[in-house]
Amino acid sequence: MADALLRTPEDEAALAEEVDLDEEMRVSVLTLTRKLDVLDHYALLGVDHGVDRKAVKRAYFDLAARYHPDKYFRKKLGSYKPRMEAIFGRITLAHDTLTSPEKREEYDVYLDEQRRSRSIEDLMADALSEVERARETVEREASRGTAPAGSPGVAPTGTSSPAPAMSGAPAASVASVAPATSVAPGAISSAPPDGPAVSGSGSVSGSRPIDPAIRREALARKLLGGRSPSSGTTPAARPITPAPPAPPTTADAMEALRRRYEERKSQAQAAQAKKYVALADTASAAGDVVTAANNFRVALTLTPDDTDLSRRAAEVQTRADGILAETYERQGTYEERNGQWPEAARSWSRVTKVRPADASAHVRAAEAIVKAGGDLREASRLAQRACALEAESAPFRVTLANVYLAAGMALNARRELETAAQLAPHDDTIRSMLKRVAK
Amino acid sequence: MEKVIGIDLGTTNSCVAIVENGVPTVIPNRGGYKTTPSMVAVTEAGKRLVGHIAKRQAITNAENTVYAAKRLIGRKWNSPQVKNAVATSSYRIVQGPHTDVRIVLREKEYSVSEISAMVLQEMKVIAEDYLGEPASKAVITVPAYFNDNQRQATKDAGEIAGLDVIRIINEPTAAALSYGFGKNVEKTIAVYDFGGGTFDISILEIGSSGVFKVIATAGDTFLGGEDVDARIIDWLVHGFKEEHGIDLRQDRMALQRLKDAAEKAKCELSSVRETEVNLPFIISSGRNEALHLQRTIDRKTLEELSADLIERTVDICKQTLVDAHLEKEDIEEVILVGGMTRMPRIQQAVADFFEREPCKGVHPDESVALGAGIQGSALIDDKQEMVLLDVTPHALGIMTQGGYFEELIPQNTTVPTHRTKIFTTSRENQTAVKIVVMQGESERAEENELLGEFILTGLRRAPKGTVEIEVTFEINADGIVSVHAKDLETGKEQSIEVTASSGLTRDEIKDMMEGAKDYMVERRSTEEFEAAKQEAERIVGEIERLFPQVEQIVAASDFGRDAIEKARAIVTKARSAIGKRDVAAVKAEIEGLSRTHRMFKGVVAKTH
Repeated sequence: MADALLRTPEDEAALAEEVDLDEEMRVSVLTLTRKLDVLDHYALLGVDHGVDRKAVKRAYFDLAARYHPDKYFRKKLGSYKPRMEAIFGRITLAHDTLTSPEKREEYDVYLDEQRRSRSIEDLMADALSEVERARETVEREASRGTAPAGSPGVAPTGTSSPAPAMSGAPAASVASVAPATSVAPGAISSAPPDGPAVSGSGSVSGSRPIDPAIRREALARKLLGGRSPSSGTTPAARPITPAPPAPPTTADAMEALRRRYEERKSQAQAAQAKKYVALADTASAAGDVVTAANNFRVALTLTPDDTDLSRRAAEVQTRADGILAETYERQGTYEERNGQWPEAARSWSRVTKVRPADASAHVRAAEAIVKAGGDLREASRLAQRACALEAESAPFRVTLANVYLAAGMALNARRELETAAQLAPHDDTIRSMLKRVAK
Repeated sequence: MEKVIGIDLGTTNSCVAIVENGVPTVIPNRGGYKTTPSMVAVTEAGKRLVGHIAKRQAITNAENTVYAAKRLIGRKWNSPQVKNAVATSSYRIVQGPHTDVRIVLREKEYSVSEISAMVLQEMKVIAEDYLGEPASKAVITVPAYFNDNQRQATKDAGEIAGLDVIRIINEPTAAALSYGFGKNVEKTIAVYDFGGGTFDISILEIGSSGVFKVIATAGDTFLGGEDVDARIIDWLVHGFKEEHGIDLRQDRMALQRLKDAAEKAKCELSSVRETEVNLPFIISSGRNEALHLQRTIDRKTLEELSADLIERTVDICKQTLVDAHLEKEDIEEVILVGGMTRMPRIQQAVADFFEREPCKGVHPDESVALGAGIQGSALIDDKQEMVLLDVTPHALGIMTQGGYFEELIPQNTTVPTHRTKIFTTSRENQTAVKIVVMQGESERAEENELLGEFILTGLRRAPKGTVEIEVTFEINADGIVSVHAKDLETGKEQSIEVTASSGLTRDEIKDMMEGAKDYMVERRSTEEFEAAKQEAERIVGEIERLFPQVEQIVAASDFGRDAIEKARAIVTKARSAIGKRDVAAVKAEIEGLSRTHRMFKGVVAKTH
């Protein structure tokens, strides 16, 4: 563990503290403290996902025996005491969750959901870079025939279409997210963003957003009139030089060249769009709605006037959003149950974004915000929306009243409670709340 | 390294233990008994009696003898338990200055912590006599279901007794420690602790690496052997009334005798099928004739009288298993602790419920003190490989608008732990918030125990609901609750340690400590005087025995006439020093007496 310690100033200060802990213990406390937010319950206890209850307990007891503050009773622990207590709290939570069959099952589902929604979001973010990639390809195709003779062809890219990257994305993405949350040290640190491996758009693998270097290169290419910059130098470091003057031609020749370019471009766009639609169809047939939606989105940016495509794209996008909303719904439900209110507020808010007509999601988002002590204005907006959607619901009014109460707006709360009491005249809770507010 | 003593401060009996060379040992008192009655009395002469001697004189001095003070410790005057005790106790219970409880002995008011401190002081002395050195650090046990105020009051009692209470631990947990100590087992166990005043059930896991983890704990702090005794008393009183038309309860002395007899009968019925309660001259009738109480009680009657109490304990066991998310089959061992578990019916009820014969290897009276000693040694001694992971027996939270209780840390949460919640202001330009810290399981704040309250000040003036305060509740390994509050806007922080209240102020505790110290000095000097007096009187006796012989010898000789005079003078002086109870003077005379004695012996020996 020692090697994993990042020597931040805070760590250095802690290491220099005068405490009754040996160097090894100090380093392991600091290292583990740093990782608490990143590790999931399994990784924290250092056990595999499949292990039985006994193995979880053993792992927990070993860690507890090591980090329980009583091990250093009345010893000088300085800033290590709260750290050790935090570690102890986290390992206890991990133990309590993984040793209860129900809690563990829920947690596993939650981890899966989290992984899923992350990969969906990654995938959706990826669509944006895919659009960029598609444009580049179109640009390349279009300029292939228009570039002046003797110029060194198009960028150092293979002939591969962007398709493989896109269609492979969902699987790759799920696989690539998993280690970051579940596997111990090493896996967490991601590769540096400007890796030297990337040389052209076609060779990008995995689902990570497109390398900035490629984007810059594409920009430079545009500025240079379709010519590729000399490869080998770092794009960022190179000053952008004005494009070299075009070879002397007559205006007519120029115009012809331009027309030829436009024509080719539109052909290339149509060809690319077709390719993406095909990918979308394949994905859709395979039940991979998110990939389908992404491919439709890319196709649509290439041929924005295609109404049929735009209808289909919208339809699939709705389904993809629905899936994302469902994963957030399940996460939100889990978070609610475990009292993770800020997380629940976020999850439910996301659900409401996709399902503007889901009154219950709005109410739950509002409740979670109140419990988390979040933005009460946002909570009241959500609860009001829920009440507007289902004007006859007494419980929704109560939630709105609770939001008002939390905000100290007793009069508003009272008004909502009165409405609620009318809607549900026999509800004792509402009546007693009303009595309280009346005071 | 200084030793830590473990004290089981029981409702009826107390016990002290220590770990010596890795072996947990119970320390017997001067009478050779391993447990000491938790009774305190003040005699007519103002002398304080603790333990067996207090118990022995209880009948003749019922009004000034305190028993079962533990049932009152840390409780408020207006609690139903105190009201019940006021009605049934033979000693006087009055309201203290902080709605706390005081006990009157010979016109002097004592706090309950002070009374408990007297018992603790006695246990401390027992340990010190055994160790031959001062014992100042202690681990004291309390019923698992005690709330923080009761724990604090017990801690205060320790402090008054001159003890540094390094930890308060739960009785069933302590019993589990003594069961699992030194055994390399991985087991889930249940500890059924039915003592004199309280009932507790705890479920623990003994794991590898010397870890003891409490999973769930529950109980009833007003359900114990005393209640069974009360049932027997009721039965006897009722029968007597039917026969003679006289209510024995009006007479404190009769009540005390009944109490003793009931307890004795209960204990006997654990080993015999029937026993006789025989109390001659229990009361006199209106016509001035003496009445006697004589009745036979059998085991079946006792079982009927206590059936619902036993049922209550089983119900609590049931609930605790649910709380622990365990099934009966998951329990691999059942341990019985507390004197009541000697009752065959109770052993049967436990065996029936858990479908398993309880473990026989744990001493019902001693294991709690042993466990306290083990925990003390584990905390102080680095070489001890044992860690106790305990839980909060009650939920902890705050009072919210309208008198509701909002839970922050749930029941059975492993400590140390912390929980955070964000609150906002509820009034315009509010610059302070009052946070009322409570403990309990009821939704209604008023039904829970108030632990303390504090006010956070210095908030920014702003419209209501706009100032966000992040409040963190924290319980550390010592069980101390602290609350940190942070103004999220400015980052300004405030921390408050919530000290539960025993009903005593710091000044009062200090005064009581001084009082206890004075008592100890006086007691130790009395002991010193008694020792010196005995020694001096022994030598005087020897000298006086030799006087006739020496006088004869001296009379036959010319020498030593003044030696006789001198010897007489020394004896007179010693007697007067003893009469004045002057320790220093008596000690000073002992040397002269010894010299005279040696001289006398020499003279006699030479002549023969």
